[in-house]
Amino acid sequence: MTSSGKLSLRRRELLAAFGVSMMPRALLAADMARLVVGGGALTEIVVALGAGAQIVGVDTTSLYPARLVEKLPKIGYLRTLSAEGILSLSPSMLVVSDQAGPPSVLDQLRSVKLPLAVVPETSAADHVSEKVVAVAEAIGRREKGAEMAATIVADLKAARDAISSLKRPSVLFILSSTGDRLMAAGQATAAETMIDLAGARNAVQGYVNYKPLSSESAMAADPDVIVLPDHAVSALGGAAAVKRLPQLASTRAAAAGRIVSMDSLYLLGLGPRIAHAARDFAAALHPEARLPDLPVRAWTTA
Amino acid sequence: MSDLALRESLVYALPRGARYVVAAALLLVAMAVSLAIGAVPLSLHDVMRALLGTSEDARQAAVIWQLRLPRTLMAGLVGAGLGLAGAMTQGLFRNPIADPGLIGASAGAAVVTAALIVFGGMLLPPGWLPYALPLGAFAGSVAVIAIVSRIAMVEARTSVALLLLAGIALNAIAMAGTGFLVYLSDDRQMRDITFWTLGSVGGATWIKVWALAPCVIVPLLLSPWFGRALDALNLGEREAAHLGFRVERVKRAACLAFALAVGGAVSVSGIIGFVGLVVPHLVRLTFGAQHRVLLPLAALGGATLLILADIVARTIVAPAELPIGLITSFVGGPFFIALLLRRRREIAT
Repeated sequence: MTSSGKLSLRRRELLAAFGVSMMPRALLAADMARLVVGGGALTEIVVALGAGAQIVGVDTTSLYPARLVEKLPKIGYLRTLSAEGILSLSPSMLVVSDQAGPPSVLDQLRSVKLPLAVVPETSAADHVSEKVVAVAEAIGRREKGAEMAATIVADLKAARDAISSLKRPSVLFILSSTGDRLMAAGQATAAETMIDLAGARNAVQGYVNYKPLSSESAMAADPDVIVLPDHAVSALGGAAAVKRLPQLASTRAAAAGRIVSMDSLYLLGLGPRIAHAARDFAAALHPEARLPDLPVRAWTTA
Repeated sequence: MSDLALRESLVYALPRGARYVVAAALLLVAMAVSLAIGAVPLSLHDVMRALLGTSEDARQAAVIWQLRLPRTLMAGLVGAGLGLAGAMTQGLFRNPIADPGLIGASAGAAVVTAALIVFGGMLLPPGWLPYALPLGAFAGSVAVIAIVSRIAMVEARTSVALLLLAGIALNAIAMAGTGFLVYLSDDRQMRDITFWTLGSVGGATWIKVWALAPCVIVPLLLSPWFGRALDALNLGEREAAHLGFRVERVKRAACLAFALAVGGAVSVSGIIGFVGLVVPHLVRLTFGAQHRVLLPLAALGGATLLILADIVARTIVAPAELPIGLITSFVGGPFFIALLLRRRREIAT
């Protein structure tokens, strides 16, 4: 999906973003730095790079590895950060996604000279390895980062190779439900990235982001498979109840009983586990195929 | 009970000047507490040294000068603006449940803010959005008040009833517009819109404090004049005219003043409910007042309340923080009910 021209542009942006953080970092021994991390994928990356013990606070979107993050102070939701709250953890660096905010709080943190590493995030699969490089650079673990990024690229390639020859079913991805209102994934979503990666196509076309799904548009999409996060399936009362929902009952997927549920954090995190998530998702979407397992990595066994 | 009655009669018996002294003293105490308390643990000694510029720790000085001081001042200004605007709206409409939100001031700000959150990234050069948001919110708020007062103008007279009804209609339109923008938004933008409508003074900077100050201070300086005019208007429009007030000019100036105060407050802090509605009542119930006393006291009271609410908002779940609009309603609501219960006989009659 991403052209190589776009990729190199990204890389240049990343380097520019890191120019800012180089100077203060040079003053600190890398292993001493106290890190506050905002962004689920970035926290996963910091931990995978072996710097988990240096994390002194995370935002509420950082949920993995649970064993580590659940004991840490929470700085709140990524987009409603508090300057003084973050400073109270005495961090020597803040590593955040470019989704972090509000901008005025980031300005406040700059004005008190807290080193900030702002890492761009997109929903493109190939962008994950660049995030790894960027985070590694920021926290002074460049070599480890290069190695890890190469491993993720290789795993992604292995997963794509195994998946590429499979038939591409159409998939309806439902993110959440409020009562009987279902939110379905359109274009430019993490869900669509994963559907593409797992050798399938998004049954919903014509809008971006997640939007409420009507009975008629579900019928028009007529997916082969319906995918929901685990929490949505249990909220709706199990896979059998999902099939009977009025919006979905008349689809091919419901008739064939093809309801797939997965952990949403694993599937949509766009973090270092992306290749493994794509492989497992593909296996669930193509039960007839025999997909080889990917090698176990340090960051997939937390 | 008799003890309470005694205490309250003492407050009533205070000379007018003393009421201001009490209210101003409360405000100063709240400001001092706000500077002394926060997520970063600082001793009173550290705070004093940072304030006097004799601190050797640059980060401590920055916490006080870049974070707590602008934040305290902004919370105070926002609270003063909302309290004053609330008291003026209630006086103008002669309606105790009026607040500036009722004629669409916050809904107008919300719809422009939501539009900027959803489309601003596409339409504006990068980096402009943080400046566009407060300006847009201010413009949205002032525009709605302008439209409403235009509609309410009949033969060069402003009809207060029309003002209220047109306000309700514009409120509904603006809410629908915001709803549509929520529909168009992605997950992240929707959260931004939601949090904006819950209010926060967490993004306080010196620039915002300076921009907001005239919006609040100008109406505040005019408040003794507004107070006398609103007291006269309470007797009826004709009576006020007989007393020598130019009723139309008062109404128009009042609309302008609270457009300024509410627009300014909303633009830097988002929507903070409850303050504009209840602070005037709190002042009336504790200080028992005519408008000329009520308006300045409502401003002082609003400032005090919001500074206290912000202290709670930024410490109770530290290192995260709660939206301040939740605190004002959670803490202020029950407190208001308690006051009502104590004095309901008087109010009912």
